[in-house]
Amino acid sequence: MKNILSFFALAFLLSCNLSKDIEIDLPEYDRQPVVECYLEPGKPFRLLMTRSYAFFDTLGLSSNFLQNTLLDSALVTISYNGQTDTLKNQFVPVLNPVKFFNYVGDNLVPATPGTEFVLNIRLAEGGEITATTTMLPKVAIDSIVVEFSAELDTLARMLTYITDDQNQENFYRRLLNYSSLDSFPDQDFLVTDRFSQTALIAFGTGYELAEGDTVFNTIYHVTRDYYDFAESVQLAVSGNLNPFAQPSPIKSNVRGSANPIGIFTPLVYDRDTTIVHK
Amino acid sequence: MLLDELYAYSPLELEIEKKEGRLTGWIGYTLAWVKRGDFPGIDNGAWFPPRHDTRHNISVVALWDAHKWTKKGTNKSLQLTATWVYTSGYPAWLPSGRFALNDIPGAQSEFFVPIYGPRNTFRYPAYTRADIGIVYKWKKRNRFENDLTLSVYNATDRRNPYFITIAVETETTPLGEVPFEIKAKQVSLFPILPSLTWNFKF
Repeated sequence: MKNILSFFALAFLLSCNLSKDIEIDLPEYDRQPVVECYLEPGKPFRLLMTRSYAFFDTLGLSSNFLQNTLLDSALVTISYNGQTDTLKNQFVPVLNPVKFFNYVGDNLVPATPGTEFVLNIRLAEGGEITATTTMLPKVAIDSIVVEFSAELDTLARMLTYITDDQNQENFYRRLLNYSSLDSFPDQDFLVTDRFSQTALIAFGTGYELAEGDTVFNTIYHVTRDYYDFAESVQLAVSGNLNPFAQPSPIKSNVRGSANPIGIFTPLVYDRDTTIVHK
Repeated sequence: MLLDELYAYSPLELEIEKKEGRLTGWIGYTLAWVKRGDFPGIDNGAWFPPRHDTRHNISVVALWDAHKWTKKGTNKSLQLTATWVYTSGYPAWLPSGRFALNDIPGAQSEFFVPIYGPRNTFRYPAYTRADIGIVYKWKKRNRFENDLTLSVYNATDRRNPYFITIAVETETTPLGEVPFEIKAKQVSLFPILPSLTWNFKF
């Protein structure tokens, strides 16, 4: 009997620690150029081009992190309305919100819907990247309604209304930030107008807003290419940390011999800043 | 919804069985391939091995009738059992690279976006497990039958992979928590599992 109890005790001890670090031998990976170019009407042409890393490459902010990550010395041009702008290779951090670019143009992005843009990049080490996109019309926020709860009159919800063009398929990205645009968004999702049978679309929140809260309400009208890209990025990120989720490859609209990843798209939006009050 | 094609073929399946004598059991072996592909819009229709594409499958089962070891005249019986299974590692789709995403104003930048290349190019380690057991059976009295079974599942306590997950180690810097190392972690489901069972019927 004593021997049997000892056996079970030993078995129990051996059964602990079901997780362990392992070495994984992945196929060799050639670093790829990553291009992000968002054409914001009224703002300068700006582009960020970086290099990807092999999955298990060491991370961290080493002294040569920027040098290893930014892809500089390329020839970047954007053509539109019969003219071609060359973007200067210049590292530009932008504040509020904080974003980074390493190619900037002198001219401002025209806002005219239907304007076609063509991106051409020739890398210093060889290889080309191309992409095309078309400016979209802005979809304005019609109205914002703040309603305080009848039961808990200290908390309110916010309803944001837009009018959708039912003659074509449209894609949106909805962002809701509290306090500042750099804060982690309380709402961040992509949506198509296929779910709506009426032109009037409403985006809402729960009863979670208090008096004095500052809410940044942004509706981006995005292209199909951007919708696919952003959705694939979200799926890839969630699939990476969840072993039971389905991974997703990145859907890019940039092409070329350089085997790039990225997005070239207009960034048309309407933003409202609301301070909640009764 | 996308439709694809799937091919599964097994050019070799062997089984040898011993049915008589004190030692009985069987040995089975299967060699097989499975592949899927021709998905429109996925990897240009490239073919890839799905999760259930395990190349080699081996199973060995042995039962030893040890009735001679029981006490003479008490009409008990003793049986020893042993099982060993081996399956080749199954394919999995792991990322090959990663990049950082600036993203649009208002959205949080992502420092760690995985890049998935061709599907299912990674193979998990092979699955192998050994189970042993002892069955002690008393003679049927009136209509009451009972036996006692002591078994050990995964007797070698092999940590077969159930899934692989990624852990990002961070370090504290003046800029806050910064990721500095990526580790792969294997999670197993069952360690060694002994059990004692009393079966009876009447």
